[in-house]
Amino acid sequence: MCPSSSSRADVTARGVLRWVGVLLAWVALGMGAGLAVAVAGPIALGWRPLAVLSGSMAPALQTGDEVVVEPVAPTALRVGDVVTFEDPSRGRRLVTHRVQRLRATGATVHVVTRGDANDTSERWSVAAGGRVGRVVYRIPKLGYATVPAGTPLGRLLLVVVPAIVLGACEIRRVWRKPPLARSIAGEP
Amino acid sequence: MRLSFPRCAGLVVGLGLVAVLVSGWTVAGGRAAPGAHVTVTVNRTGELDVAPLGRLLDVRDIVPGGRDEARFVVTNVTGSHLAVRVRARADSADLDDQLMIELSARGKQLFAGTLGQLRGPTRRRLLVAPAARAAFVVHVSLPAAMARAYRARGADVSLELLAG
Repeated sequence: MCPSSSSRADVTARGVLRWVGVLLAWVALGMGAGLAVAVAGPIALGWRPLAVLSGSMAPALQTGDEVVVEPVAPTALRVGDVVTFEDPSRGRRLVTHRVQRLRATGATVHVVTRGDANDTSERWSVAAGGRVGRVVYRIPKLGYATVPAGTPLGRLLLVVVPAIVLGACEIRRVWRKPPLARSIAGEP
Repeated sequence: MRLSFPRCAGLVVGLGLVAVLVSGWTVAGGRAAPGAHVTVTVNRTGELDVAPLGRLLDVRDIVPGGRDEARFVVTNVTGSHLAVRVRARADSADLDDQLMIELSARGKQLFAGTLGQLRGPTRRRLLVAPAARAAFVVHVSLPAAMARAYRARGADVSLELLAG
């Protein structure tokens, strides 16, 4: 192989590698954007993303999963639905468990729920005209990122660090001489 | 920023991958809408003995078109003829207009109508001779075509025997 064709092949290989690198980087970027939309986008519909903090619903939901819940009327619930509700026996803490039984009496719906991995059930009531969260989908392990992101330090890092990086990029762009000006300056 | 082909393709592939993954991460929910929960009980009186006593039916998730049956035997424990009528008591009025009840004894229909209509004594009565027995059949059902008002509703129906 002559030296000229070898260098041409190197250039082609480098071009392909660069192309693949850009492609992979943008696939990752697209996935990141997609996950952000999957979690935050439904908020516009009144849905709500929540992190799973215990393994009471394993294996259907694992600790650290992020679930997205839609508000539904209690009368639209079905036995087997996974719902998020304020548990009166735990200081109205939000709990996500599966519906075992439903009974409507007058304007009240009485619900019995239980975690898939639990032995005990909880009984609670909700007004028939009220709203209960029904889990639509989950994103595995994303809760490990969203929970810290909700803390003051997390918010600071999410806002301040990108702002510094963007600012640095802008300053670098402004200070760099434009290529055209450099070539004109280099002329005899 | 200029979006070259690898950038566009990467972005689309990334978004598509997330769409596929999220569709696979849907949480399986309930399939069947909850039906109505109906129990039927009957108790003895001073003049009439009943067998079996207590709960005759405990139907969970009865849906439109669904129908269940229970039987009980009434014995006249007095020394005179008794005209027996029946009425219903229920813990709630949620199924008063939906739940259909049919009562028959000795092959004759005593009542056919809604639970709400059976809250008053049946017009027809059954004559039971002293020490004689009469077998009753009770059917509960939900009409095949009805709105969702029955869903997750319930009624604990108690049949009262009235002897006169």
